[in-house]
Amino acid sequence: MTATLKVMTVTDSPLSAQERYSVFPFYICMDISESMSGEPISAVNKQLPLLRASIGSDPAVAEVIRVGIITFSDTATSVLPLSDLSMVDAIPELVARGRTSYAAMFDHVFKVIESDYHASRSAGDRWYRPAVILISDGRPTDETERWQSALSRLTDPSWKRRPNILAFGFGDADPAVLSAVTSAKANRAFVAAEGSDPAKVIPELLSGLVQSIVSSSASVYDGQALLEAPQLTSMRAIHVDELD
Amino acid sequence: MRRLALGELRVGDLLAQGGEGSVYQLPLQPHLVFKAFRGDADRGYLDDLVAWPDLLAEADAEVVRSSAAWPVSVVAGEDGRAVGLVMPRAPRRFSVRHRDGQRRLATLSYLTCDPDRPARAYGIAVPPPGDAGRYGLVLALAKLLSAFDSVDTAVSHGDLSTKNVLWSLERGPEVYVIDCDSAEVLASPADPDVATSKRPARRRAMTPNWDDPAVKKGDNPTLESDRYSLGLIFLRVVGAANFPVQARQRREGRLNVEVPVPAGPAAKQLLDARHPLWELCSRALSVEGAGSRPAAAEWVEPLGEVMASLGGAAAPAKSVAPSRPAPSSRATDVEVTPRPLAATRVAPNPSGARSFEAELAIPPGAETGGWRYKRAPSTTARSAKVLDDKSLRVQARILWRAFWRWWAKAHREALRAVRKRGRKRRALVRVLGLMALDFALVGVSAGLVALVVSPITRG
Repeated sequence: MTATLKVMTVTDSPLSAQERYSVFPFYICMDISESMSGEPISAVNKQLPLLRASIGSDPAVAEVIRVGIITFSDTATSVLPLSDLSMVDAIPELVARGRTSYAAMFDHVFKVIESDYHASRSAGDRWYRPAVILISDGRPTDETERWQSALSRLTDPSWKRRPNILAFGFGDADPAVLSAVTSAKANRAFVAAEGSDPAKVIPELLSGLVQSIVSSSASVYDGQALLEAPQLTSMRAIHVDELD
Repeated sequence: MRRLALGELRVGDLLAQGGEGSVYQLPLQPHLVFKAFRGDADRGYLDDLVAWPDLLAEADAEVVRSSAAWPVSVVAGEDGRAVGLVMPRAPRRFSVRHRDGQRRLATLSYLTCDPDRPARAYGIAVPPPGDAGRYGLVLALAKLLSAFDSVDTAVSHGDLSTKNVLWSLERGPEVYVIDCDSAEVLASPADPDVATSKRPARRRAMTPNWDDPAVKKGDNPTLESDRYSLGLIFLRVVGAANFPVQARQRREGRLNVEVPVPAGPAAKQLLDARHPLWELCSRALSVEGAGSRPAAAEWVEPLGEVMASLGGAAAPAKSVAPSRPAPSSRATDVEVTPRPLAATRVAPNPSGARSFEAELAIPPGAETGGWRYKRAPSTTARSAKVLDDKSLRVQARILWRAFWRWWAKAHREALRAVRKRGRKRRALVRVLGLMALDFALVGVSAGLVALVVSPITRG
């Protein structure tokens, strides 16, 4: 009797060869303002192909991870649309220019997540909550109100697709701003020691991130997407204060 | 050499680093590697592991030697404690060469997806669904696992995952199972004290997506887990997809899987839902009936039969007793059934039939400057026939590239040999051979040019 009941209560749609694991989307938002020119940007250009080599070349990792690269200065651009990295031939070279508009970046990320989500859904892909990884060497050059309102639209709790944000700062980046960007959540914002050389911080940061993304693919197969912040010797977590 | 002192080994470069320890090259024995443990190891247990193949009949021992990286020596430090193991290295043929020229281990992931994917992403041709090679690889694994289980003191590998089961079709279908140092020598039912006293205290976790849902979190996998893995690998390799079965089993308890079967000489027998392979697969994946999952030996005959009807090399092994499951042992919670491939591919899928373009999730209107995608195929639903033609084309392209690589290398080497001092006879023979080849190539190319040019000039 119990066996019959059990059979009857189960949704019995067969599992077909088309059914796949949900994918974990990552948006890497790279600050390419003028201050990044020279060694910092060439360090970025040297490290970005690592994404393809480490994530794209392993079919088990590539299957569940999607990566998009967004650059921002005066405006924000998707230099690599959200992709399965095994299908990407080359990662574009970045050129530093302009100022640091956080508002343009937040607006762009909002639009891109919205359109990517619908495109993926209609293709049958299911998503884990996207992760946005912000890497910046400066303070926002736009008005505080302007970038804050763009941020609050991106992180609005009523928006179902709001991303988790991780922020990494070096150079002139302001810990208070990074903390605000990550909603002052613990272990989400990191800053390099004062006076440290960006050309040294960037390689460690990007290779650490790639490792974190690779190991997050195992958690996707485990049925829950986890992203551990990378262990970085040259960066420290921004202290989160206790509320009164 | 079952025991070695650390001082006797010449340890080379670091190959890999993991949670358990580090793996190093051995420059004097390039076919072996040294795995140094991070923590303490139970020496008695490791000695048992290394000596375990001695218990096997010669034929089974040979299967283990050729298809598994079974540890060959325990390495002891100065104080006599075990510090690591010497193990065979996977032969070169168990790797694939990506388009970028780099070789990577041939993990199961290249097979557990649409074959179009490795072809487009890495330039690697894998056998199409329904190919005898796919059945042959599962058969090779079944033979290894039945050797593991051929004596009273059996072993369980415990993590037959994509990264631990490597494959090759170079000399016919073969598998090579690595990470055997975490295998467990199980207690013999006749003499339960032999192995239990030496069981490793360490936790042996299975890889997510390749784990056995009957094993509770924190528990160690069992012999039955290896039987689950064999069923799962059969399903994913033969079905050419990464069926996410465990999530379904954990959530719903019951599992009903449809495996696409392409048209071909074996299609008629395989499309019969009562074919023994579907029954074996259902029982292997069962959680409720985990205790009566089929032994690996039960798979050997039906797999051999399918291979024979597909024209594969393996003749059915008659030595293994046929073991049709009795009706009482049928799985109650899992049902694996065949579906004709064309029907499963073309029929509208409620979750959305997927094309590769869609999978890339290119947002409409996104800027396309600066990045490049690999050329995408047409979006029409692909039948087995189309896939076949495609992989032939890919194969031809790979052969063409391999030929020119060989040509350039042969010329470089000949040039080097001629420049070298000393006896020149062999070098001269080589140069003459290459000259003859080049002459023939020029002749053929001239002929082709003439074929094109002559109608033009005549006109």
